[in-house]
Amino acid sequence: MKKTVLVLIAVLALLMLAACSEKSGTVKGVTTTSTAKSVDSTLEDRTRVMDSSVVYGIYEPPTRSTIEPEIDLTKMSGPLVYSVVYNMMKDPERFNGKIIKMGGAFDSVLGDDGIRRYACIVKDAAACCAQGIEFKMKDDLKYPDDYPGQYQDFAVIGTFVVYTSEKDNYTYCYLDNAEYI
Amino acid sequence: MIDKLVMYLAYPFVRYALIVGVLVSLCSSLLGVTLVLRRYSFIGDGLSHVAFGTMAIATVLRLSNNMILVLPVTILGAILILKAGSRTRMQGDAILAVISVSALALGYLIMNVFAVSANISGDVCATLFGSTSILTLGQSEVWMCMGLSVVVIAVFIFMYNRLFSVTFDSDFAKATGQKPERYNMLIAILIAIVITLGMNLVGSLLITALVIFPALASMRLFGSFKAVTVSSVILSVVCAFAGMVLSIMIGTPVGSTIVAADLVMFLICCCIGGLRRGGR
Repeated sequence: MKKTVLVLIAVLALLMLAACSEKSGTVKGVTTTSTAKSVDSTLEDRTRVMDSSVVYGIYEPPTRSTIEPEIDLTKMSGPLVYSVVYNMMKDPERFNGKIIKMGGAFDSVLGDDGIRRYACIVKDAAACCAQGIEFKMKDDLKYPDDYPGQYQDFAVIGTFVVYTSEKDNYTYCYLDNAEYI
Repeated sequence: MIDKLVMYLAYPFVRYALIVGVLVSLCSSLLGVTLVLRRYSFIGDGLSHVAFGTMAIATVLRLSNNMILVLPVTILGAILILKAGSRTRMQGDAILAVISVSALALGYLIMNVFAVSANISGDVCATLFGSTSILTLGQSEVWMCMGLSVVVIAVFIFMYNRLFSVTFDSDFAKATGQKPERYNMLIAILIAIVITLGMNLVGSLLITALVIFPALASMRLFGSFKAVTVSSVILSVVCAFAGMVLSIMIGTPVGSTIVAADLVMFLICCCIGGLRRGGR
């Protein structure tokens, strides 16, 4: 009798845990569940941002570069891409002047100095760590019309340049004369 | 596929990862046999959590080289775990559990409260599971790993007979004038070194697999201590190398792939051992 009661309590507890969500909906191909409207709207916004490639597809540029890269990150596996980019940040002089081809998520941020900067973000295999490289386009392009959507997958090729800022004496690096590929 | 691998090997950090991975797996397998036989398998797990907690403190203190703090504290932790189990009212496994979970929880708490990077979860994940840490080693870190590995291997080879007698019959070893407590301490120090090195390869949570799987697999195949030790080394090195190459080629986390390779190897050895016993 005691065993039966315990089993019944365990089953009830399991059912209660499984029945927590009340509302479900599909937001641009991703199902979200929520018990509150405010949580739903937050999830919707975040899902839209994270799935911009699902929404917009991989970025198709109007023109593609025909330059051959010295280091092609688009042909490497996830752990290697992350490691190469990590080492480029850690030991940038080793890669100075090399033509790098890389693919990743587009990111753009407006700096405190009023200058908008653009970066290509790569993640490791577990997608828990991310690295990025800033790039400056060769042609004078207009944001946001001539650039990919935020976090949209794209590929770019450019020359890796290292410089020391006179303002703060830090070493920075970016892909110069970048072109879509 | 081969062309791709050759291209990857052109990068120095890939060569460093393979060298360090092979050395760490070699050292961990040497000590694994002794630990498994002495039922100290989980000491590696406890020490890895202590190392994680210490690494959190080192990160918060912005030390350029974490090993300066992590290695001595982990060695101290190993000594405390062994000494505390014999002298206090709490049993050894309880002491291990207390130290292990406390270090893990406090380490994560410290990293969150005194955050020094924008991606705490990523840093913690990489430390716990070793997703790409092994591929981001610098030359100085490789030299340090090589030096410590040579020390571990040399001590094991020179102390082989004494470690053997202490492992199988510590009472007899004591009766013949040896001091088992000192060799236990030595084993604890060696395993602390291996744990600290192994965190870069497979992360804190998976390092125990690197220690016990090769030993357990070898015990399914062989009966003598020497044969088990040699076989454990070979299996560990092969699985670590294969795991790293596989993870680099197909894009999986390095630590998990190595442990998965160890698991597959263990299951194969269990099957072979079972068939051999059934055939007799």
